[in-house]
Formats: sequence, structure tokens, C-alpha cells
Amino acid sequence: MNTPIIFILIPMALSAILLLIPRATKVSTAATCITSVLLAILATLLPEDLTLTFADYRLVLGDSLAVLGRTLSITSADLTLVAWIFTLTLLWNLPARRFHISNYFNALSLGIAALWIAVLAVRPFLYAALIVELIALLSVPLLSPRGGQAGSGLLRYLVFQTVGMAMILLSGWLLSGVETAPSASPLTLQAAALVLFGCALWLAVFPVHSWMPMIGEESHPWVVTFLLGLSQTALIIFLLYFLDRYAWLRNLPGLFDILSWAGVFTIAVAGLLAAFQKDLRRIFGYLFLAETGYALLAVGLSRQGGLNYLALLLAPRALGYWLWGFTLSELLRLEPGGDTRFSGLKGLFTRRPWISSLIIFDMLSLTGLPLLAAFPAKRMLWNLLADQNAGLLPWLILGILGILALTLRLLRDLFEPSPQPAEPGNQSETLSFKIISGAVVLLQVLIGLLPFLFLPGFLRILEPFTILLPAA
Amino acid sequence: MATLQIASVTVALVAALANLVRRQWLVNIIALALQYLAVFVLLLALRPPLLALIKLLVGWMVVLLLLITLASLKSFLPGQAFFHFTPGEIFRAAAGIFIIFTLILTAPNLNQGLFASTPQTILISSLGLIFLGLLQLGMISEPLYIIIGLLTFLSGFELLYASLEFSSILEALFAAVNLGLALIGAYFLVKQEESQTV
Repeated sequence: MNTPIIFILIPMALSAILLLIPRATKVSTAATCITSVLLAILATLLPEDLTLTFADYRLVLGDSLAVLGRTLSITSADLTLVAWIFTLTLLWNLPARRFHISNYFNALSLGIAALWIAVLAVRPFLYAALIVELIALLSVPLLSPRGGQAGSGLLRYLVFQTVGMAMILLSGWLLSGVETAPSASPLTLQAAALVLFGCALWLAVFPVHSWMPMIGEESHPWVVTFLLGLSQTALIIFLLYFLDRYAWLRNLPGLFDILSWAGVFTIAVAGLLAAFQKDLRRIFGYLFLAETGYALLAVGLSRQGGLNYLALLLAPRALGYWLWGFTLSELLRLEPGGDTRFSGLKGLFTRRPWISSLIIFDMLSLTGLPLLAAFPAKRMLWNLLADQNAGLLPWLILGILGILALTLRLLRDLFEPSPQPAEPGNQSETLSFKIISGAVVLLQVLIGLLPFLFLPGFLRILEPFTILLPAA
Repeated sequence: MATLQIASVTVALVAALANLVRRQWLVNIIALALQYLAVFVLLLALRPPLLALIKLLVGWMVVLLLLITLASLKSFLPGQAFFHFTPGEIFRAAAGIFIIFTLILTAPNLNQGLFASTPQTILISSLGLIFLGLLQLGMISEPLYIIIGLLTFLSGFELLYASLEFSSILEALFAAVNLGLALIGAYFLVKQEESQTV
């Protein structure tokens, strides 16, 4: 027995079985949640020597598995990330049946989580590019369930993921040439450009971000927040593998400055574009884009300790995405076919005070408002940027102001009296919704107030990056 | 063998060009099948016949899957007369031909630089398929033609990559991606039909 079998093959096999029984949604939900929680606990509790002890019985787990001449490897250093991926799967599966989403969500979400772990476990890790493409293909039935046409955002998503895959694979071939001839500078630049542009396509960094708000508008928010949130975490870690593995890439003059610049510019563009949005469902795309910018900024500042804040932001960001998905999904559940444009949201606060408050709270939390979950890590990133490159600060401020302007615009519309009277048939916000979302809000506030209690465990995610970390 | 290679390059590029220009599903499906056959012949210069055959079989399975789905749908009836070309089609054809000629002219330079280990016929056909596929992806928004564009792009990329490196797991994953794309294409077609029926 070894860790790739436990954390990749078993969940994938279970996912395949569950795909055969799409109508048994309760079984599917229970199986996915139980598997996710067990695997997350196992990944958290496994000791460094990967030895399981039950009474007198001792089982030593291997950390690699050979598949067609390549290796899947999950060492003890990778287990925190594995635990986090299964925790996210659990968080999104627990209330999934509350919403009108694809019957395949449970099965496919478990399979996709296992595939993301495979992406990070395959060696040489460049082969991960094709697994990322398979994940994009598996996401299609979730993003666009039966009953409507495929949206153009989804088609663009497929195109960008496929082109990104080709670039990463081609860079893999170039890399072998670079390693044998480190002084070949044109080859180095070509390989670096392919790696960075491939990752930019996958992560939807500006200016190749157009599909993201479109997908937010076309697809169910619960599915979008899960798939994009998981991919963002895994792909940033994938980028770290590149930087950690290849010295020529790491030592490329100005690379980290370019990443910082790209991060700040992405935040600025996200804020600017968000400020002019008119549809609630499109907003997530821009919030996501800003978070990608923060992740890139943290990687760009890795030599000054930025990577720590990348890890510390994982939980606040995931909670923010979860709350956004949960709130919007509840709104769509209570008002199916309701207008999510700002003009249609007028008076929402009087009809749905809890949902309206949560939307505003979540936007402020993701922006990094003091006392909320993202603030401690974002504050440190802002300080680092001010120390290292104060010239980029106005762009960062522009991005933050853009999202704050959007929040104020939305706030005005939510409070404005509705031109039409409320429909009598509409359900009211349920107690269970209030309790669950209230607990997440409380958790976000607690993380913001006491980050040292909740967040340091996430620093273990950086353990595999032995070369990047000492420099940090 | 050289004549066969040149004929295969021509067939592959003409098929991709036909897919870029025309919007008649039967023409597109036949062109896609011919494109996979041409890629198979080109691959014979790089791989043992059995390994090259895998790509052909996967490609034809993709074609068959799309064909069966299209044939079962009511809304996909034959379009306009075959020899009638719209201005859009003429523009796409001109853009495609421009790309092909540019590639033929620049291939010797590319061959000396980045892709030194790639035979010139393979380089022209693979880059031709990649760029014609990309052109199709940029000019079309219908799901079927996006999928055909992606398949064209992928078959060009697979051909290029085959000249650079061989790995069994990579071949298996490429096959899975091609079949996955075909399944997604079929899924999009069924969805489109359902939404039109509703």
C-alpha cells in the first residue's frame, strides 16, 4: 500500500462507481463526504515516516507508485496540501444537495480533487499538463448541466485550458534542452515564456481572463466557486514546483519582479473592471481575478517571505469563496430565475436581509478589510510591496478601491426600495442557512482577530519547496 | 515514401482548411477523418506502425462518436449548396491559405532553430494544423466547430510532440484527452438539440 493509491486511486475509483448511480444522490453525498473527511484526517495524522500503527499491527506506507514508466509520488511533505484539498471537497459537498446542481457533482468533485492531487504528484511534473486538461473536460458537465446550450464562457475556458496545456508540455521539452545547456539564453527565455504564459492561461491572469466572469454568469455559483477555487490553489502550487525545481527559471533576471508586477496589475485590472459590473453573478470572476493577483504577488515576493502569506491566505480565500457560493446559491434557490443584475436586486435587503448582508460582508472580507480573515496576510503583503517596490502601490490601491466602489454601488442598490412589490410565493431565508452562514462569518472574524491560532498550520503546505523557502 | 509524406501533408492541411471554411457537418466529419489518416501516415516516419495506428484508431473513434451523435439529431440537416461560398467562408479560406504559405516559407528557418530534430514535412503539417485549429477557435463560436478546432489543434500538437519526445503515459493521456473532447462535443450537441426542442 502506498500514498498515491490511498489519496489518488481510491477516490478516483469511488468517483467512477458513484458516476454509475447519479440518481442516488444521498448515497453519493454521504460516500463523498465520508471519503473526503477520512482522507483529510488520514493525511493530517500520518506521521513523517508514513507508518500506521494499530495495536500490534504496523503498516509502512510507500510514497510512490510507478505508472507506465512515470511516478506518482506523495511524500509526507505533501500531505498538508492533500488534507486541504479533501477538506475543500468536504466543505463543498456537505450542503451540495441543498442546491439545484448536477447530480454528478458529488462523484465528479471527488474525482476532480483526486486528479488535482495527481497533478501535484506526477513526476516529471510536466506530465501534469494533460491531467489538468482532463480536469477541464470533467468540469464541463458540472459547469453546464443538461437543459441549456453551452455558454461561450465555457467554450473559451476549454480553449484556454487546451492551449495552456500545449504550452506547458512544449516547455517541458524545451526544459530538457535548457538543463543540458544552461548557457543557452534564447532557449531559456523561450522556455520561461512558455511556462509563464501557459500558467497565465490556466490561471486566467489578465488579459486572458475573459472566460471567468462569463462562466460565473452562465454556471451555478456553487459549482463555479468549487472548481475555480480548487484549481487556483493547485495551479499556484504547480507554479511553485516550477520555480523550486528549475534553478535557471528561478535565477532568470527580473522573473520575480515580473511576477509581482503581473500580480499587482491583475489586482488593479480586477478592481477597475469590477467597479463597472452590473451583474452579481459576474462579480465572482473579478474577485477571483484579484485573488489570483494576490497569489502571484506573494510568489513574486517569495524572496522577501511572500510565500508564507500565500499559504496563510489559502483558508481565508477558500472561506470567502465558499460563503460567496453558498449565499448566491441560496438566493438562486429561493428566487429561481431571479434577476441577478443590480437593477433587479433593488430592495433585496428588505426581502432577504441575511443574504444581502452576507454578500457585502464577503466582498469586504475578500478585499482584506481589517478584523476579517484575509486582512492579516494581505496586510503583510501590502507592507512587503511597500518596502520592495513602492511604485506599484498606486496600482494595488486602485484595485482595492475598485472593489470597494463596487461594494458601495451594490450596497446602494440593495438598500434602494424595490420598484415592484415582493412576490407572495417567495420562500424566506431558512434557519439552517442562517446558522451555517453565521458560523462561517464567525469563523472569518475569529481568523481575522486570532490568525495565529488558525493559520500557522497552512505553512506546512510550503514544506516541499525546500529551495524556494530558505531564500524566503 | 517522400511522395506519400507530401501527399499526407497536403491532405492534412486541406482537411483542416475545409473544417475552417465550411459549416456542413458531413463535410467536416469526413475532413476530420481524412486529417487523422494523414496524421497517421506522417507519424509512420516517427513511430513504429503499431504505435502510429493507435492515434488513427483514437482519431477515428472520435470521428465515429461525433458522426453517430450528429446523425441522431434532427436539427443538423444539410446546409446550403456545396459550391456556394459566403464572404465569411472566402475570408476564412484566405486567412488559412495565408497561414499555410507563411509556414511553408518560414519552415526552413524554424527547422534550423527551435525544432532541429523535426523533419520539415512534419513541422509544416503540425504547425499548419495547430495554427488552422487556433484560427478556427478564434473565428467560430458554435460548440461543434470549437470541438473540431480543438481536435485539429491537438492533432497538430501531438504530431509535433511525437517528433520531439516519446512517452507511453503521454500517449495514453493524449488518447484520453481526444476521446474526452469527443464526448464533450457529443454532449454539447445533445444539449443544443434539447434546448432547441424545449
